[in-house]
Amino acid sequence: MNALLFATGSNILRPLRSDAVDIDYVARLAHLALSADEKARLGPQMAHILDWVRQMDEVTAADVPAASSAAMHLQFGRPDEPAPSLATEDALGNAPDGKAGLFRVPLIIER
Amino acid sequence: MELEPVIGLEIHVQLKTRTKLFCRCEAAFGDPPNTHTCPVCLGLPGALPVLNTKAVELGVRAALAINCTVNRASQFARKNYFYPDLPKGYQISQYDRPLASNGHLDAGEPAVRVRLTRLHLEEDAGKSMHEGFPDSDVRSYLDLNRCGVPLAEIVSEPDIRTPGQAHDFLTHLKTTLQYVDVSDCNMEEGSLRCDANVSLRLPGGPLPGYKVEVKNLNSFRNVQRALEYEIERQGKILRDGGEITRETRLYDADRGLTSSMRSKEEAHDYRYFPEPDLLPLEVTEEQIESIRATIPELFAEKSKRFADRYQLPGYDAAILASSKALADYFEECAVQSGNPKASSNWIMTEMMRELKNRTIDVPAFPISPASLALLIRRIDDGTITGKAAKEVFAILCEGGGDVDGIIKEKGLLQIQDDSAIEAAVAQVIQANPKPAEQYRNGKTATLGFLVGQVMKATGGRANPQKAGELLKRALS
Ligand SMILES: [Zn+2]
Repeated sequence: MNALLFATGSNILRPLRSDAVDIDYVARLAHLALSADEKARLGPQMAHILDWVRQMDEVTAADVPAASSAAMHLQFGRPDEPAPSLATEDALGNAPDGKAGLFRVPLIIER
Repeated sequence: MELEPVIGLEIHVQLKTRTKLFCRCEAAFGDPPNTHTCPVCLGLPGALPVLNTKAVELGVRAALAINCTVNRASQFARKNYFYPDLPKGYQISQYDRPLASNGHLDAGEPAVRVRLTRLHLEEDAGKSMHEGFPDSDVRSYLDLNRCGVPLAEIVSEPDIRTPGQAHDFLTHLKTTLQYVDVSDCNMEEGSLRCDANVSLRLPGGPLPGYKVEVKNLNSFRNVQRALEYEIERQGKILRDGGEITRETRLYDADRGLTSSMRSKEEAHDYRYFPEPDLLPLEVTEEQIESIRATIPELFAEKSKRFADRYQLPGYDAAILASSKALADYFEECAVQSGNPKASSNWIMTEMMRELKNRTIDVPAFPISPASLALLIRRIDDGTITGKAAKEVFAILCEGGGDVDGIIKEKGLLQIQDDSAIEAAVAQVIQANPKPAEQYRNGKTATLGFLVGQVMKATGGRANPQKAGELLKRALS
């Protein structure tokens, strides 16, 4: 894989150089069919966003633990007690398609 | 060219919580589809996850049971991919800061140490269905009840060398997780799932530059079979000078082979990043220690203790310790009867057979350990014979009454009066002149047959030793 938007590894939020944004690859991962016009417009926009996020590099010192002052302590979590769920028809009501209590989507395997 | 398999396993177990990992929908199995969903687990805009502390507790418990170090601080991360069974477009998992790391389990005979890289928490995806609908040629269907249910993912180092070791390891892992009661570990219901990574190398050489992931392994037996197939397949390619590429393969249990998953389906680039909606998770030393204090004696210790304390063969001790329920049953029976050896024998033969015939587990077994213990005491104190005890056992299995009541009702009291047995002996010798003659002529093996006849004649109520003695005397 070339030109990852974010490199994987221990430093997981490391934007690569903005000219390395491979808009075709990103669009494919996002299952988006972009037109040539859109690619020309969105590629630079994405690079711009990454440039903006990259400012974090300048202020984040490696020896500062992530959110050390605001960690989730176990005792502040939620007890394991059920609450009512949505009615099936309400849950399905937000989806484009459903049938017999099930969400229905375009076939997601190859036959 | 001799090649050595290098095998690592990835196991997902569903944690036994009442609710999902980040919302309060029930984590129930087998309910009508899409009856346990809410804005959080449906991934509706604006819904925020709130962590279920019970899932963390169970994760810590599991981690301690498999000798992991629990990390005081861990972090949830988003694993991004698009698939309809994942409505948010990402799965909340843990990436570079898992809940626990560096564990191990020793499994098999002789024991092989399998190091465990990590244990982390994550949410399950929904269930997609591609078959059985009139429009299944163009549509898939989704049930999101399972979506968001808490899982612990356990990843092993590539320390396993044979399919048999993989089987032993999984069996031991399952026993351990059931012992600490963190998961049902039921493969049929999907509460335990396993993927395997396998590659081949020259014996003792460096780790291979490729690995093949095998999925769709729905039983421990199939894990073993799939690995056997895959080792054979890869060996053939490598010996022919071919190359193997990194890929994911699906096991087809019916045909007993693996086949490549279409590359399109595995084209993921998860782009993990820290979950911005959840703070880093902190578990204090006190919390870890208070959970550690509740970890019961585990399989390895227990089977060793059974062998030592109750003077049982190692094999028997291991079977009795194979589940916590069975081990507890045995121990209560052994203590109450004062006869561990007999308790072990009754459990390993009569009880195991009943469990198998009825396809039930220990908790559903109709005879309590106290009743079985009393039955054993009644043999030991001479009230009934072993043969009569089996009759009582059968009645108890049908849920009928108590030990002493059945003995009385069925007239099973052992015959204490020698003259009654002598009468039966005389009758048996008269009815079986040929075996009696053979015994007199030195063929002592026929004594067993004659004892059996005396037992039959007394309805199993004679003491077989006494019957043997009296027979010998009568035939001498
Ligand atoms: Zn929910």
